[in-house]
Parts: sequence; C-alpha cells; structure tokens
Amino acid sequence: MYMVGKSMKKTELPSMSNILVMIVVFFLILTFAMKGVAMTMFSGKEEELVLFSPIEGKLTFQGKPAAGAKIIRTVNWKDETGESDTFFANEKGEFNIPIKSETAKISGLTQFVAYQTVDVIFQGKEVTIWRYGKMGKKLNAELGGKAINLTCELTDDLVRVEVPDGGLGTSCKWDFIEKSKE
Amino acid sequence: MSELVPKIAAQLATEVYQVQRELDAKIFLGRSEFSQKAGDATKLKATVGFRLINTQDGFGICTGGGVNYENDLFIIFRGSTTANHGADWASNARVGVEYSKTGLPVHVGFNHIFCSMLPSIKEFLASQSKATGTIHCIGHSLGGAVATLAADWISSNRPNPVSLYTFGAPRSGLSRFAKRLTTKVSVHRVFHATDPVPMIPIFPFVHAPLPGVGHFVPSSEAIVSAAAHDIRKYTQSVSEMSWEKLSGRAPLYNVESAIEHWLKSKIPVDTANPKVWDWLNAALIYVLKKIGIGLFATIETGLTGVDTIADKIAWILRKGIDLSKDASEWVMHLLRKIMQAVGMKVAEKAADLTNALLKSALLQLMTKMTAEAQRAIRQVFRN
Repeated sequence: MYMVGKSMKKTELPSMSNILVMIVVFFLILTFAMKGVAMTMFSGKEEELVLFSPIEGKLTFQGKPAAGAKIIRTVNWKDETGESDTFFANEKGEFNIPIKSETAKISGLTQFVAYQTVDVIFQGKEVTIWRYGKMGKKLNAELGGKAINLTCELTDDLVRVEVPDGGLGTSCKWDFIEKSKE
Repeated sequence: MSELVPKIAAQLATEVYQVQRELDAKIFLGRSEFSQKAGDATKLKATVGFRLINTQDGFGICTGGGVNYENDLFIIFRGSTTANHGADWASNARVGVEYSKTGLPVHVGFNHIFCSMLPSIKEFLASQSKATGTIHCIGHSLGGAVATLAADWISSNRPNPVSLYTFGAPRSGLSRFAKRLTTKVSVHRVFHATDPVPMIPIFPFVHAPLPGVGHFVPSSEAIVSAAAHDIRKYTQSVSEMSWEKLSGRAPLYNVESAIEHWLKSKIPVDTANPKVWDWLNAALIYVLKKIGIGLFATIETGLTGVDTIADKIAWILRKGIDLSKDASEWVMHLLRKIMQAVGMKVAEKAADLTNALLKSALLQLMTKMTAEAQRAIRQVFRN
C-alpha cells in the first residue's frame, strides 16, 4: 500500500382592527423568538464526526490487479465541494485508505450528511467505485458497523446496494453484505 | 397503492438527504417503489422520468411510482443538511404570513422556498399527465413544511388523491390553511415529544391535520435533544408501526385544564425544557380566548403592518387586565411565565403591570430571543 497523503482543497388608542393586527404581529415576533430559543437548544456540542471510515481493498481490471491505480477519495459535509486525498494501489492492486474525521459542533436543525466518493484512475480512464451519503456519525456507519473491505473490478457497473441508512452506489463487493438486487 | 406504510415514508424522507447530485438521485431511485425501465432496477442508468429540483433554498425529487405504485407519483423534499445549512434556515428568518398560491395564509419563508420549486413541480406533473394514482408528498423538518405546501397546491390543481407524510416538520400555515388541507389531503404528521421543530413557529401557526394531533411518538429523552429531530431516529421509531398504532394519546398541553394548571403552577420556567414552548404556545391561545373569543375568531384578518409593536401590545395586554378579574388573572399568569422565560423580576400583582413594564418585558423577549437565534446561526460549525 502506498499512500501519498496529499490533500487538495477543492474545495393612542388604536382601533379594534389595529389591535388585531398588533396581536398577530406580536405572535409573529414571538414566533421568531421561539425559533431562536429552539436553535439555541439545538446548537449542539462538540463531537467527533467520522466523515469516511477506513477502507481496505483490492482493485482489479479485467480480473488482473490494477497495479498503481490512482485512488481519489473525496468527502464533503460542510460545503458543496469538500476535500480530496489521493492514494495509490500497490502492485497487487491492494490499497488502504485511513479514516477521515473532524471534531466539530453541529446544529441539530441540520441533518449531518458526509457525501463520499471514491474515484479510480487506471490506464487513463476514471471510474467512480463508491458514492454514498453517510448520515451516521460513527466509525463504520457506512456498512452498519462493519469495517469496509472491498474487492472492486473496475469494469463493473455502479449499482445500488441496500445499507442500513439507505442506498450505496458501488461497483465493489464485500463479504458481509449481499448486494440487494443481484 | 393508496398509502405508504410509515417505514417506507420515513425511509424515503431519510434517503433524499443522501442525494446531492444526479448520480445520487439514480442510486436513490433504484428503490423498488420507483419506476425503472422494465426489469432492470439495478442499472442506475435505467432510472427514468425523474426530476431533481435544486433551488437556492429548496431541494426535492419528483418521480413516478414502480412496483405496487404503478400509477402513483412521489414528490420528496429534503430539510437542511450540514452542507447547505446557511441557505435553508436563513430563509426561515423571514417569519410572517402571506397568502399561498391557493389563497390561504401560510408562513412566508416556507412559502418562498415552495414557490421557488413550483415551476419544476408543475413541469414534472405536466409530464405525468397520465398518472391517475395517489401523489405522495414526503419530507422531514423544513422538507416537511415544503411538502405540506406542495400537497395543498397539488390537491387544488390535480384530480389525483394526495397523501402527505411529514416527520418533525414545523408549522407551515394558519388555521384556515390547516383545516382546508385536512379536508383535501390524507395527512400523516409524525412528531417526537421532545423534538422542538414541530413546536415552532408558535400560534397563530397551527399544524394539520386540524382537527387532529397527528402521530405522536413518545421520546426516550426527558429534555430536548438533537437526536429527537434526526430523521434516522424517526425511521427507527416508526419502522415496526402502522399508522393506526402511531395514532396515540394526545399531548397533555392540548387539554385546557392542563393549561390552567401549568399557568397557575409555581414551577420556574425552564427554557432548557422544550415542552415549555409548547405549554407557552397553548397558554397564549388559551389566554387570548379568555380576553375575548371575538378577537380570537378574527385573528387571521389584517396581517400586515409593524409599528411600535411593544407599545401597542402592552396596551392590549393592559386592556386584558382591566377587562375583568378573571381575564386579568390569566394575563398575570401568562406574563409571569413570559417574564421568567426572559429572566425578568416577576410582577407580584396586576397593578404592577404598567404599560411601561409590559413594553419592557416584550422588548426584552424580542431582543433576547432574536439575538439568540442569530448567535445560534453564527456558531454552527465553529470548532
């Protein structure tokens, strides 16, 4: 496993009708105020957010190891672009990508989603082998708590796989979960 | 199929969060509920006839139904994500009332988001003119509010049956809106007891179904918790439930005797307890009725004009105190709660509640809470 670890940031008295108007306005202002309180209650605490759990795996192209394949891991969660890191497969096509996490405070009014992508460039062609919106904050939440260990044939189509929080798009296979629609 | 079961509705409200771009939409739409090219659900490129709606503040997916839902349509909206929080909730700062496209009083901010998405919804529906089944409108949080407005518009513009499924959604309109929606749309509103989002905005905003309380799910948390608003938590809560099983007992603050008890209680107002806001909301409505049912019945008229609000409201509250001993007592109870909530020295008797003091209490309430809202917005994501 060879890791370059290079980070690229893409990265008076009023009339009755006036009284009615003012009552409503009061409640509207109070409404806004309540929102403020709710948001404060929701401001959250600092916690570790696992943006992308570690991935081990092996890449093949037409059945043979995709030696030296360039692997680009991208994750975005607090903006639309995110950050990418580049890795390379070894001569056996094996790769090992470390965890990506951040410690942050997030608002409970927003739903945590880390959008994950793994692209591979091999023999001049780029393919996406993994695309997922990770909603769980914990390690290995992607596959319901199991470590990610993949076998990926680069000529395979990206398909939908059922995982605990929804649908994962991948061309890879793994032991402990069955592809839903094969 | 006329209705989605709770589990499926919650899963769809969850998975829409995983969609950021077209590839994600194809992964999402690989679900069997959605239409695919014949017998080829696994091939993402086989996904047909969907529409991604991505405006500055709103996000949603429209698609046709698949197995068991062949003539149905799905319109699924997303709430705020950590990736686009600023845009979505900033819109919510525009609290106020305006008339919806169907002529009913609704929340300005939510309506603006819905209107920004409406052209795409119209185009999608026009492309699905042959679909005669149910149109399912689904969403969590802000997405639930937008889904509610969408369900109202669609029910006025298409002959199809319309079903609405919301999870942890805020109130999106006034009572005329909620009542009419309830007569035209099958409404499934799911909310956790300790999720504050369904508690806002407070009166005169109300939830649909009206009459009705929706699907109340008890929470394991004693106090507010971000976990209670998480769509994944909602999915867990409803996964083994039917709509019938979810139609539980109404919260206590819907009962007038309970409101009276709360107003009279000496228990300090704990603003960390989210139920306080539901109690206060219910108490405001209750006290307003006590001051004058005539005023209450016409409260939805005249919804514009903002001028020296605190002065005028102080006058109205003082008027309530002078109206009768009974009304005075209830205004006193309410003001004590408000004053506690803002940290003011609580008035001992009605005579103490001068116009100036009332005005001061109101200004403090508005100023403090508005500042807190702004602070909460700013501190998001600061490590």
